[in-house]
Amino acid sequence: MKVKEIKSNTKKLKESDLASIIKELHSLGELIRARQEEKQAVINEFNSEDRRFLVGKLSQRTINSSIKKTRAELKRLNQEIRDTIKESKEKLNEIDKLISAQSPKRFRVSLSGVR
Amino acid sequence: MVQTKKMNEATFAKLVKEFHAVGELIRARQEEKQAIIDSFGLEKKRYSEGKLSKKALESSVKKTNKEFSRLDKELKRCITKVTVIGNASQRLASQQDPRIFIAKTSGIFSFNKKAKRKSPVRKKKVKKKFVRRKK
Repeated sequence: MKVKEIKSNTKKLKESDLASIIKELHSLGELIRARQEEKQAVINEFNSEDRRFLVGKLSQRTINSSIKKTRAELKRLNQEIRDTIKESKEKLNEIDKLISAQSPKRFRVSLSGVR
Repeated sequence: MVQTKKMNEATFAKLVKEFHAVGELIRARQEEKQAIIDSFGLEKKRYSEGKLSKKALESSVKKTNKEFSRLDKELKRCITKVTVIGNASQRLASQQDPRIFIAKTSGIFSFNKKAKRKSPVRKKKVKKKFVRRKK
């Protein structure tokens, strides 16, 4: 009697794909924090320049130039933070999609085999 | 001294770690399920060859179905957990939306981007006067 072999496969999560997305997500988180710290540094630097201006050690022209520069820097950093947040949301959606695809395939065994 | 928002890196790292752990758990359960299928396949083969009694196979069927049910339930629970972690991560990321700062000669100031909403003023309904027409 020829024996019929059972060939049923379960869904298998591609761990390498998940690991790569998680790694990217982690680096995006670090990027957000880095930009936030950069922004804080820009603010602190401007504050010290402003203090010097108020004491009279800095000219109006220089502070005006510093204001322009600081505003541009803050704008750039804000945009970068927003872009990174958007990217991290995309990564989270990718994870959700990958994991949702792992919804279990239903198997049932009987004397006749696996269904 | 104005302060920028600062993401709690430890919380974020914890969430990322949880993602990783749940991913591994899903894969482990999937492999366990496959092992059960393979094991049942072998038992079925032995039954077909006459090396196993029908009673033993029936007992195996019952046990295997129970195991499938347990593993499927666990997989579904893991998937739900990933959704929960994903939502928490998304919330944390959204909270990092930058605070707006403006540099002026008098210092640096922050202001809220969103202006406060005024509560809508309800319009009073004007009652129409009922005028009787003269005949």
